[in-house]
Amino acid sequence: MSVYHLKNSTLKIFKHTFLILVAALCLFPLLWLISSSLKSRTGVMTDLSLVPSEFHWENYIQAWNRGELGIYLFNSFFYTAIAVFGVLFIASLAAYGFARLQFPGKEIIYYTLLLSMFVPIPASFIPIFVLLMKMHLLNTRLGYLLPLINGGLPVAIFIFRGFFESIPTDLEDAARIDGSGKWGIYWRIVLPLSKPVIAAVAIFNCLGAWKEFLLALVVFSDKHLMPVQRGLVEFQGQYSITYNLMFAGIVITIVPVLLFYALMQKNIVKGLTEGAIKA
Amino acid sequence: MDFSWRRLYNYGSSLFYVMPAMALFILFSLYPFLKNIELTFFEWDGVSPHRYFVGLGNYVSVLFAKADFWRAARNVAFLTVVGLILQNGLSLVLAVLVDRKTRGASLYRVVYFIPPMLPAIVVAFIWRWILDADFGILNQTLKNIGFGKLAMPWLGSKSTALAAVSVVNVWSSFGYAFVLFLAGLQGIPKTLYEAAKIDGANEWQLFSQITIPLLIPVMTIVSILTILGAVQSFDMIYILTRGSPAGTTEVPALLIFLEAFEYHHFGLAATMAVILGIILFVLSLIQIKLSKRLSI
Amino acid sequence: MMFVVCWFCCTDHVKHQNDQIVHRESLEQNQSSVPVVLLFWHYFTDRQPVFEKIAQRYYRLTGVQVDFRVYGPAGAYFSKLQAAAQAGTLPDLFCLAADIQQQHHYVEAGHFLRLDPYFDEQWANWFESRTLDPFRFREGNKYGIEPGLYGLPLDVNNVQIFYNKTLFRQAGLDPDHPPKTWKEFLEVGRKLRAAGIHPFFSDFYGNDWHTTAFWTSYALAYLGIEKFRALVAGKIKFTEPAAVKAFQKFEEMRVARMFIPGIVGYNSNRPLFEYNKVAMCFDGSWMIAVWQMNAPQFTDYSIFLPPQPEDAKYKVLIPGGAGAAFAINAKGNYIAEAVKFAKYLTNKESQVLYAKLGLNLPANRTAVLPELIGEKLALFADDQQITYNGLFDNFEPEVGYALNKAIQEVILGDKTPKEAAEEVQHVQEIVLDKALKRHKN
Repeated sequence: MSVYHLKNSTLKIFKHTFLILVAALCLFPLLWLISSSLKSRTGVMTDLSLVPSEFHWENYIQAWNRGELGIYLFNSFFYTAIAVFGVLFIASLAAYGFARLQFPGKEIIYYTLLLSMFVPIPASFIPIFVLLMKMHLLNTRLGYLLPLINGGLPVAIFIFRGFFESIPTDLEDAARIDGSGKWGIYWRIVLPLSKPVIAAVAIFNCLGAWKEFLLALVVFSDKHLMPVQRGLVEFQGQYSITYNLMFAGIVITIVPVLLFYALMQKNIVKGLTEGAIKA
Repeated sequence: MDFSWRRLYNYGSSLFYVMPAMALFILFSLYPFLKNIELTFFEWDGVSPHRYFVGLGNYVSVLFAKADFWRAARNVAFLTVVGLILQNGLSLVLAVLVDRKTRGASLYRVVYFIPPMLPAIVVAFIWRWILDADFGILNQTLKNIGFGKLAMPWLGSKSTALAAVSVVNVWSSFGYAFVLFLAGLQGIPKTLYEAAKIDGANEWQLFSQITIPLLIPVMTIVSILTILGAVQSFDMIYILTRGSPAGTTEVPALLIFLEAFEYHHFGLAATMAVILGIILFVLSLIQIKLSKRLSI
Repeated sequence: MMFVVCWFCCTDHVKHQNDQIVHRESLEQNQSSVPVVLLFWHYFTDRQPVFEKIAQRYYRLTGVQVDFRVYGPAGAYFSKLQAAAQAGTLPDLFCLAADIQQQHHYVEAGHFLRLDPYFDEQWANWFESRTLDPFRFREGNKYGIEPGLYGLPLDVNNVQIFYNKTLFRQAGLDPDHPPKTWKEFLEVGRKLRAAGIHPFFSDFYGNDWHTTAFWTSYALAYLGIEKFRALVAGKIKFTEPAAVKAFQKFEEMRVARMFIPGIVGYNSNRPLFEYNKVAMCFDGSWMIAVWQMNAPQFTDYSIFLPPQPEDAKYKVLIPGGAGAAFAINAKGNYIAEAVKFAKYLTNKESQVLYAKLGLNLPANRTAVLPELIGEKLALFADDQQITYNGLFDNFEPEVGYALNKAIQEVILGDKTPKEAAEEVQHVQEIVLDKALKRHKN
């Protein structure tokens, strides 16, 4: 909304103070996390300053090695990438179907989908595990990816449908007159107009897949298939946690997600609505 | 009967769009979901090969004999209301402010999404440290500026624990709503604002007459997701308070977890989940209907 | 890109078979020629190196490979265990919760091997009887499980009250004579508070076991074991004066201002006891290893038993149990081999190696050597005899949770001991009623 030129300078000061305050509240924990990751084991608890008295850079090397983060990170990248693409593609297809197409039982199917979003299933991993076992997919990447993608579908479909339905239909009508079929409208009109939503859903699923752990632990037996969260477990002893190394590990795991988000959020504000409407 | 091959083909090809999602859904969501509903009519300890049929016994139990479930529901209602007002209000304001023409907008946008990225263990660590009764920054600051009397064990006293948890929730979740609002704001054509400005509208009118009405579909999505997030929130509570002190921060998700994994009553846990889900579902349906009426 | 994905997934599917399927196939082929691999699941990341060493030794001795797999943290581990139990794919050996009664439904479903037929006298002699009690089901237990031994501990611990000698001195108390009676305990608390020191801390938040454990110690002192068993069975009420006295202990501590403020929500990250922030701490012997790692400079502390109330007829017993324990899959394919390994894992040689970790007292009493375990841990060694775990059936979990909440109310001063007792009795009655109906079906 670039039209909001707040000419009044006191308002401007208020605005910036407010923004900075909230930003500080959000940034501070990250800084604190990084700072703790550079402290010694005992220093994490005793050295309370934001700037560590000694910088233990070797924590990161230790975290990487002990947590075997190399292979785990690779796995996480793989799973997250597939999950994000999978959800984006499958959910947008389905949402387009619900929003713009007709077929019998459409609303019933849609509301069943939603209902699954609302009813949390205690120990849902048990039936999924038994199912995967029967399909001989236990301890395989495919066996993990399928339920992972499925997990992100209801919310994504819900969000996509909401946004798709608010796209003005005249664009689609025009395209249909020009001879575009269902797929054409989906691929050439609806998707490009939804770049912001797509970016948002991509971010949410990236984060969700990246953080996922329980399903991975239940489905996988082999260490080398595990995602990065498994690496962080190495720092959790039975009675105490090696906080400084764990925090170093966590920082390492946050960096990729942060980068992905930084890239994606530019897409959210790159609105193409004006261009399309003018055309 | 108005039947035609063309219509059948139309339906068929439309179904293709929904097919991949439905295939996955039927396997990995519907099947567990139906099994879960089936479980509500039994008692099962999670391991035994036997289950005991109890008919509607679990439902009767939860609806009429489980005061703690309804107390937990009130707690989560509080968390949800706080979430809807504070969290969404905050995200909306922030989204509007950093949409584009603000200095450092890009930076702000990245920073505001940091809280959701932090794992629960880090969030709990930091906030326990902030809210610590003796050494926490909050209490230290209060003491330093002379409000020492207000310093109390935030997570350890019945009157403040739930409020403290709700603050942590708002902090850690507003990033999601923020991103969604940002996305939603893109859908509002610039030309509308330009036209209104020519007609002499001021900022507030632009906001209330254009932005808000056009954001209603997004707001519905966001509030449904906020409600969902708040009601199903478990990690944060589990790691911060685990329901203490004396059950004042119990939420249904926690009770469901306890019922299933500590008391080994999977049937009852499933029943609580179903009842909770139905309540949420109905609330959301009402919201959707309302928003459809408002945005016309 | 799609090709890469497909390739990955397909080769995975071919390569990585389910472990159990491998086992079954090799069993079918030729029992003697195929090397035996025992699968051992656990969640103790800090013990993995020792386990691997022990496995190496065992392989050199017998040619049997033991594959130790870590699946942590604890919560996720038990979920994985549950899924495997459902699907029938449990490994040959796996770690347990510290108290086997928490997993009674696994025993009822027949997953844990009953060790008595294999437990010869030589093996039994390695353990104090009390050490094994938390893994036995007693005669006439409420679960209807055949009495016997179903698990084995690797290390044991007990819970007492740690006290900070420096802070004691600061308050003018004698650091070498901690309180022995309940009256002395309250007095010590008052003196500490007067000197501006937080007297007492324990993890009394949420659903944590410390709360009910402290209560149980004193309930046993007032009721004695027989009556306590009756209480669990519902034959005696919580509102019985002797049982109410256990609640009263918390009230007396509150009146003497012994609790650190916010103790019921208090799960501070900031170290308390090892940084001289609180004078006394009710926790277990494993904390010694934790403090050694996190605050190696902190050594000026010792322990004392929860003090005996003057009006208690019986002795105060303390909580105790295993740190790590394991069971053998009764439905596994290599039971004989697993039992042999279990014996090796708990023998003196392995236990000595294990004890060097310093986390707890070794379960095998022949390995409890002072030079191994250190002087602080040695303080706990003799008191394993007075632990109460395994002496009675546990309360139903809901009752335990209600007990927790009720005690928290007493600590906060929002309920009197009698009201708290009534609250718990109410829950007990409901729960026992339900259990009765269930058994009738």
